[in-house]
Amino acid sequence: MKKNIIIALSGIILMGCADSSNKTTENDLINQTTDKSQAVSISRDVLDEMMQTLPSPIETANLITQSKAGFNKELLIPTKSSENFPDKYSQALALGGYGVDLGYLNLNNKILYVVEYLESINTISKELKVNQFLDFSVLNNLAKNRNNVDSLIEISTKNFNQIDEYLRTQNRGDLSVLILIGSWVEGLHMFNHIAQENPSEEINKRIGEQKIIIDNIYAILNKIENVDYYKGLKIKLMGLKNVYSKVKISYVYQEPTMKEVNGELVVEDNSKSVVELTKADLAAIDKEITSLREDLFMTNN
Amino acid sequence: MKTKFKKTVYLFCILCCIYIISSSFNNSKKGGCGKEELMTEANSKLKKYTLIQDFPFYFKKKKKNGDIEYKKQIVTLNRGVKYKFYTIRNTEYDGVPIVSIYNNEKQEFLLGTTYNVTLKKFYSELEFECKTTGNYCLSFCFQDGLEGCAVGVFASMIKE
Repeated sequence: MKKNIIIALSGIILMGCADSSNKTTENDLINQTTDKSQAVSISRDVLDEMMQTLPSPIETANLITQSKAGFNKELLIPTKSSENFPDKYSQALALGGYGVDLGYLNLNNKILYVVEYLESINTISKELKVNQFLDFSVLNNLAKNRNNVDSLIEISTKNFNQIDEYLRTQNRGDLSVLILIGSWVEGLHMFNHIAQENPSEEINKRIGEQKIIIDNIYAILNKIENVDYYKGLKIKLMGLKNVYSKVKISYVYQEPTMKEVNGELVVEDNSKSVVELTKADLAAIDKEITSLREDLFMTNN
Repeated sequence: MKTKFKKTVYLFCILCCIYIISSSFNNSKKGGCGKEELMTEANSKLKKYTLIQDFPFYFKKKKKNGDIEYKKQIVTLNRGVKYKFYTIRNTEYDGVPIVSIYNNEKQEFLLGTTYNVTLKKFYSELEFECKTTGNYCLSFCFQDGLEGCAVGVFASMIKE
């Protein structure tokens, strides 16, 4: 009987030890990349939920391509900058920026430059220790064939999603937020450039609508500003946020139209939004985003 | 007295072991509930769309007189873009998943849902053509609050 008790107790203790040793190993791994004093103070679930309010790099690249302004390589972050980002924060921002550039190249069939940008993304991914999710050789091979653009978009988007998921499971979700902020900054810079080259009501409205995104970014940064870097980033974005506070967006709801097509429900939104922004607002947004982009992506060096 | 104490300790140890084993089993069931398999099916349904995000969700059967549990998720949609929302169900559970989309965080107006309560009809997916950039609310639940496990998919038409 006594023997049985000892065996049972030993079992429990061993199980407990095994469990705690696993936890220690996991924590050790996380701590290799996350300084505890500089860890974000909100739960992973809350951060995960809030992140969905920021557009993905491929969506941003798609909106830019939809504007049909024509391809302009000058809009992209120079690939030579990819080795210059000093820390995980600036690397994550740059990864988002390059992600939009890659999407923009893919969607415009500029395969010639894709390999160059894939290499930059690979360089930064290695620094961030997420390069295991990039099917670099597959992407490279696809990039060499002009007919593989759809697969290239699909695989690169999948790889970005895997990186995002991995960062979140490793309690590095704040870096995922930075990837999305970086891609948004790059996208807004592109929209502004297009607005100057080919002004239209449509592109102006698109720029004005970004007020929603900067408000969403601020909502996230407010939650993680216990980390110095995010507090600093919030200050860097302050100028842009102030300019956007002058932009007014009003929403008019109208009942959507619904129809069934092959067993799926197709909903056509009939609501409208009115975006009010002046030429002075546009100029101020352009000035702010240009200087912010230079700062974050070190494009002036 | 001594034997009674030994018996209690022995029983306690057995209960602890059962608890540890069953809790680790339950956690894996809830956390994953076959997400990888569900995602394989989810990806095959994308067709012309690009996956933006997946939302796994699991709910226990609702209590008698209790409310149906929902998973709410705010997403930002862009004007001029077509989106597709659908769910993939783990058939080991009874719950049939439903995804609905509302016009804002406050869920002011229901824009569409994969289950029409009046007609008692399910739709395989919901395609939404967005005309207003903004924050929308997705809501995921299981019909009649049954226990269920599913993954919700949010996809966008990139390059039509």
